[in-house]
Amino acid sequence: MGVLWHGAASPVINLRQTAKLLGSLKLAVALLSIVTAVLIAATFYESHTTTAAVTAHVYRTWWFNALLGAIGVNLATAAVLRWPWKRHQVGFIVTHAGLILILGGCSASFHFGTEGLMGLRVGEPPSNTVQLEERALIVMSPEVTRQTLRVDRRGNVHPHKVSLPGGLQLTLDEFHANASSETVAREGATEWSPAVQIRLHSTMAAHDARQWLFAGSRSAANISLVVAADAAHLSRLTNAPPAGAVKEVRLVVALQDRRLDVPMRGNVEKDLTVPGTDLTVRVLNYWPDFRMNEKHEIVNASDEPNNPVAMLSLTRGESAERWFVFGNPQMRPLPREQRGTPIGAELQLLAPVQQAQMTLVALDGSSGLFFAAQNKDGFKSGPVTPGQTLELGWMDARMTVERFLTNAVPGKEVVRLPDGAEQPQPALRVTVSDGKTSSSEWLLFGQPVVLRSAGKPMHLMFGWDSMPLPFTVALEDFVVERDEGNHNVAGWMSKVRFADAVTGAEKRADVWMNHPAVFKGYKFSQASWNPQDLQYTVLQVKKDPLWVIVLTWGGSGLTIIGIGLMFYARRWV
Amino acid sequence: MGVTMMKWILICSIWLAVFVEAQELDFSALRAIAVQKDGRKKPLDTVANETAQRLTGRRKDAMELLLNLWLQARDWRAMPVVLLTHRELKQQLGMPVEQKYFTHEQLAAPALEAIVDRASRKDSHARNGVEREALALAQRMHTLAELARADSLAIVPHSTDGKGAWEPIPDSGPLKERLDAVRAAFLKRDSPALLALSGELDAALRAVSPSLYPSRESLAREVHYNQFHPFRKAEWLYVLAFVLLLASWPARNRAGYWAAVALFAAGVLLHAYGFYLRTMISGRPPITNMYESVVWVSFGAALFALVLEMIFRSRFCLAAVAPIAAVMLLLADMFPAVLDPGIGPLVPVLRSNFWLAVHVPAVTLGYSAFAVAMALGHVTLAYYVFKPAAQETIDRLEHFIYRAMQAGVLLLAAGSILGGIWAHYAWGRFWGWDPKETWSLISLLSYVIPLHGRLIGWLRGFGLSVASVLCFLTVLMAWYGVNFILGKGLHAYGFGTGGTPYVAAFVLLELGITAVAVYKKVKS
Repeated sequence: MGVLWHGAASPVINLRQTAKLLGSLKLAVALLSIVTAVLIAATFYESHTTTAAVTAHVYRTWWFNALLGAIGVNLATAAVLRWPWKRHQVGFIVTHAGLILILGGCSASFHFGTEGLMGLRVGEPPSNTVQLEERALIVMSPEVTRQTLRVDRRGNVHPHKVSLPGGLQLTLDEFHANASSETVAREGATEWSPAVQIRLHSTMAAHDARQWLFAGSRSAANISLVVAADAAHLSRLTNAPPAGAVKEVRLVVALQDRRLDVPMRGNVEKDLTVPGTDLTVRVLNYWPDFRMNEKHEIVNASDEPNNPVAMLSLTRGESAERWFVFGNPQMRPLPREQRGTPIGAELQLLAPVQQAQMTLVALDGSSGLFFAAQNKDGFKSGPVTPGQTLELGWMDARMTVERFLTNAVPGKEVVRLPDGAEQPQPALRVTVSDGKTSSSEWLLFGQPVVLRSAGKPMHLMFGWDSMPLPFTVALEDFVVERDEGNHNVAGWMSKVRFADAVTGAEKRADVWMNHPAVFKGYKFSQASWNPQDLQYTVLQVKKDPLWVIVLTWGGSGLTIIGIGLMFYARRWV
Repeated sequence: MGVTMMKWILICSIWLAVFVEAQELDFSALRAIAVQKDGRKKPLDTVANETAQRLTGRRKDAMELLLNLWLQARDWRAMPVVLLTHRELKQQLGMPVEQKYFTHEQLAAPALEAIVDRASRKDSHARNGVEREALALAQRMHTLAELARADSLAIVPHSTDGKGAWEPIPDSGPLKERLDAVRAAFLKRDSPALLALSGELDAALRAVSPSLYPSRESLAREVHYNQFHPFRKAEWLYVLAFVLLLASWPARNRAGYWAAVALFAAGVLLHAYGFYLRTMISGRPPITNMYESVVWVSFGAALFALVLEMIFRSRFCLAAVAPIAAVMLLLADMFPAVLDPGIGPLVPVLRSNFWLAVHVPAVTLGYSAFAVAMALGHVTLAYYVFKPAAQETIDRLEHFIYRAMQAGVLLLAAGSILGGIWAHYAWGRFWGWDPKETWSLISLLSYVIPLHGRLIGWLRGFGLSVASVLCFLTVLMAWYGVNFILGKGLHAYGFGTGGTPYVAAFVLLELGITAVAVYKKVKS
């Protein structure tokens, strides 16, 4: 108390006292203890939630950074207060200077660095667009306008209003950090345009959800709504299909115009010949219900032809091949082994329809609704009215037709989801106004939307901001290296070519994990790749101002040297 | 009389059978045959050890076991080799509780299938002890069945591609004939023939692709590493040094002291030799997984103790650290399921030798120094509790603790900062609040705080001793806890499960020791 009183009487002493407190060891110990406690709590919080959550709620908050800033002030004041420095304090001064530089360098890197991502594909033209880790609202018409946005902690968007050419005003009303959009239908169209709301429920699959179907749309469970143009079309759609489909699994092997077509049953492990050719086919193995278990072993789940797969061996003269063929028409045959000149046979495994289908049919211009169901129990059809429930033919799944609108307008409803998801999808609501009329729309991140303003279409997108590089980058090749003798991925590498059109400078470089390439001060690191698409790579692009690098690396060196001096060189300095 | 006679003959013949069975065959030529497995080429001896470890939980008679399976010398379904120790699971399966090894036949029953089925439908963290054990057991049975196939081992080298897939011995041809001859010798238990014939098989395999086949030297080195057990020998030397040191202490026997120092130094040398062998075998820096880090921290602690001992000649440094170094090696040896000693190919994120060679050893040597401080802390606290009057000894011990902490702070700070520079270069950011980074900072701060507190006078010798014990718990968290308890972040290649009860027991023990010491100190 006495000190404070004196301080108030004399401003110089007051300053001196404050500095002493700011640079005191006691404050250092207190601050370090608080930071340590916060960090311990933060790591446990992260373990129970997500990295995104802890970043948002601890590491990027003002109070946490203020705490780090206070440590910086404490470090600096402690060093300054000891001026004039004595020889034995060299280690202490160097360490503290190093730590301040690291703290400064890290925060500068955060504020001044450029960081973005670049997706490249083999064979595509060189690109110079870097996708930044910042959000932007992009207006593509009437003129391309790009507005970088910042969203504060309360969810307010800055800037709040954007003026567009032609006297238009864009207001950014609302932001959801994590949202999803649902398509809904409302009555209101002037023309006939059907929409059906269905409820899909299954106790066994623990599923119960409502959804809107529009003409031509298909839900996940193979339920679709189609429009019948006239009565004849309607009767075609609601009558049993002609018996053209196969009743059992058949193997078809075609070579030029010759063709072998045999049932699978009874032909496993037998030598078959494509008539009129010297091509021998042998079914080495056949799984009617092919599955992979969690150990990645192939198992046969049942004898029902739910997912037939066969392994074939083909021999013709000197050539020998092994193939996997699939009953699923979306899967192309997969070669296992190929010796000699390729045989070039066409392989097919035809399987009976197993997947249940439910088709709702609306007759054009009328309020009549019908259904046609094709599943393991056979074919059923008839009229259907709202409130009616139909069996879907798999497990205990049933569908209830809840509402049927004849003049439906599709609309979007954005629903807010809880924060803290690993990959949240943000949404932004914007209003366009020309002074007289205005219209609002939710923009989901990354999805372009057309908004009508004064009768003119306007393309809007809420997405990542981007930035052009002063040179181009092309992906020449993407190499995946595997461990010897098995298919475990050992590493991946992007072979890139940089080219500067102005200076004509060119450089080829290999980028792989922990091994970035540098061109004109921009650093390219291997960020991610797609195991399903080995022609594609994502590189992280980063440019730190040189002084930031000097700060951090220099600070690192000083800190290590300083600690060493403090502990081991007291006698010599 | 006749019955007794018959009994004797029966017993003798059983003994004879056991003796013949147990007669050691000379596997030296077979051991060094190269196998391509799990992404690298290794000697058959290593495969045998890994298999035996996985199936039976130990490495005894590994070659016998592997050959019985691979050469199909015995009915693998009837071999009692599958380890099952979990009492509750045995009860649920209706197996005799006192039995430890079971046959595949016994275990392959609907009861186990039902548990495995239930367990595999659950998330891994929702499984109970029985279910986890059942899955591990199913994995063991799977390993057994996999190996009991003639084509289970890829030993025929690829003819052109150094990284190409090797093949098993074909169904017919000269290689098959040679393998059959080896098999016949193994079945007849004809040791000289086995040695000669496996030598021929080795030569024939080598002749398939002489330039791509691993050199005899490298295969022999790995077999030597498997057989020699350098870390186990180092462990024993530390124990012996400790015993000798204690025995020679009361009489201040110089010869005893120097013999103990020599034994300890020999342990450190063997320890280093073990790392040399591992580095040569794997072709990469020595610390890439939890097992290697435990062995390395033990090595660092022993090395620091030796250096401190040579500087101060106080006996305390060796006496405090020897048991801790030995215990760490013992742990590494005892829990292969948690600390896997296998040498596997490196995960992609670690495939940068500079990073591995500098950042990880520096950080883990920091852990070593803190382990030394912790060991000395225990001794000091023991003095405070049992001999608080020996102020001079206590002062000396506290000086050692201070020195060890300094080394730890320097190494951990340097290691973390080097990691930061590397991350800045490779990932584009110096610091990212990744849990491993954060915890290395937490443990660094937890030592920096008492070191600063000491300067203000908030903490004296006793406080430093308490800190040396308590702060090591943050090291334990940064080292083990982040990977095994938190399980999040970029350093994910080191994640694992298991051992938590032991670590928790250790933490409680340390807290207990500290509490007792503080209580005594406050009371006096």
